Amino acid sequence: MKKFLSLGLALSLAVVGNFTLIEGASAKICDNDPTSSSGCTHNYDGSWTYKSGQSGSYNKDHRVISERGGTWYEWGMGSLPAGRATLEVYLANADFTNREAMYYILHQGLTYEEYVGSVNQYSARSGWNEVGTMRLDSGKTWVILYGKDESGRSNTQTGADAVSL
Amino acid sequence: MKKKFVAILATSLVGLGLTGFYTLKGTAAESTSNESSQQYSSLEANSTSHSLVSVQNKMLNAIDHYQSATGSYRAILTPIGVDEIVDFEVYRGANPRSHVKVMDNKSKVLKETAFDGNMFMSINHTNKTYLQNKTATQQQTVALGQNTPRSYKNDQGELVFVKRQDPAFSGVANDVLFPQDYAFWLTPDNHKVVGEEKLLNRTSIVIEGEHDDPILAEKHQSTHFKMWIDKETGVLLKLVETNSKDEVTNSIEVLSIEFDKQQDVSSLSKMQAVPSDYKDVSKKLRDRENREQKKSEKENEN
Repeated sequence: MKKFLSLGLALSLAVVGNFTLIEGASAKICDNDPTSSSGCTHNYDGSWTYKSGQSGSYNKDHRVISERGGTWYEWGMGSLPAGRATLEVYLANADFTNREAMYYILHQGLTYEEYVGSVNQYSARSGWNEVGTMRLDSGKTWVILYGKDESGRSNTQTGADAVSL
Repeated sequence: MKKKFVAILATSLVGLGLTGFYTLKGTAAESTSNESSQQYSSLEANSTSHSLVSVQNKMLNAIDHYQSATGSYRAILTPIGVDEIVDFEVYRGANPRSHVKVMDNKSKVLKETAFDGNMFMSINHTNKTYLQNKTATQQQTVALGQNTPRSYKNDQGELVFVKRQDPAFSGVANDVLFPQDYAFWLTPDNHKVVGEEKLLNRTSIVIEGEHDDPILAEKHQSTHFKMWIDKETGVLLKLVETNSKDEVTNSIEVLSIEFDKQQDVSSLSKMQAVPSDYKDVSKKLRDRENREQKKSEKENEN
């Protein structure tokens, strides 16, 4: 009898366990310079300086580029399901001073990036800052940060840390 | 056999029931815990004054309080060598549009951005380049409820700032027209309303505060801030930041502003003409293919 009671309990837990896993949508977070096991990739063009040991930054590292350096930093978010997502960016370093850091999204199968919005990296509070909400197409997705301060200032820097969809 | 089956089934049902109960209880407890310990927004905190909450609310939702805004502001941000004037023409309403020009202190146009309802363009007049892209964002179809916390701590203890999208893609004009970033500077214990003043013939609420984000304070080289918030719209009319020696390190000041002026929106509907000698640096497929090739080359080098 004890055996059957245990079996019954195990069965119920297995069923409920599966249900509790299927709960709403969760964020996909990709950091700069991701590890190979993270399911994320990165790429960039220009002199994005890598900085480690940064206590405030996500996983204690980030990349920055000065205006003259340009041009883009890209997070490969991997394959995501179709739907809607909110792009959030992690900003928590005094190096990040671009007042209009522009973020784009590229879906697999499209031939052009789409503009999501800008973040004032100079005045935003430290933490996760929302950029915008967009549709997601099923498949690979990339988040791209344009690394130039388009006002042509020479002493601002654009920062790339973690992003979340 | 039948009895054993019934026993298993009955136990399963009891187990399901109990687990369901505890899941719900846990969810409720977690919600309560979230509400009490994780929520960071001053909207939810016990404010010392109703006006503090309402001012921050106004700033966070400024785009709801006017249909259009034209004017200009001056920003002097000493730590990053900025001294510029921003001209803006922004239309909210059913067909959001914007045109924003950034000029140096000698009125030389450095940059322009424009949104015509579909395409966003950014022109860099210094480098003679431009970007032109379709916008990706969808309108937020679910409005943020009054009780939706606009800032909170996630499970990892990281602060999250819930920002509303700007459907007009106004860029730096939002420093004054949709000052969410500055609204988030206001936390329950770091500021107070000190009174009202007239600015540009408008009533403004004056707030004094102290930076409690050390990274922001370091970046801005300031310890204290003073804001003048338009009482009617939540627009930031003026901001002054000072350091420990009471020297001004950053200032933003609206020079002129007019709300809901009858304007010809059609002029905003036409994408800005770009001089023919400017280079298009918009990302296209060929650039994506170039990036993949560069990535492979990097990997091969390594």
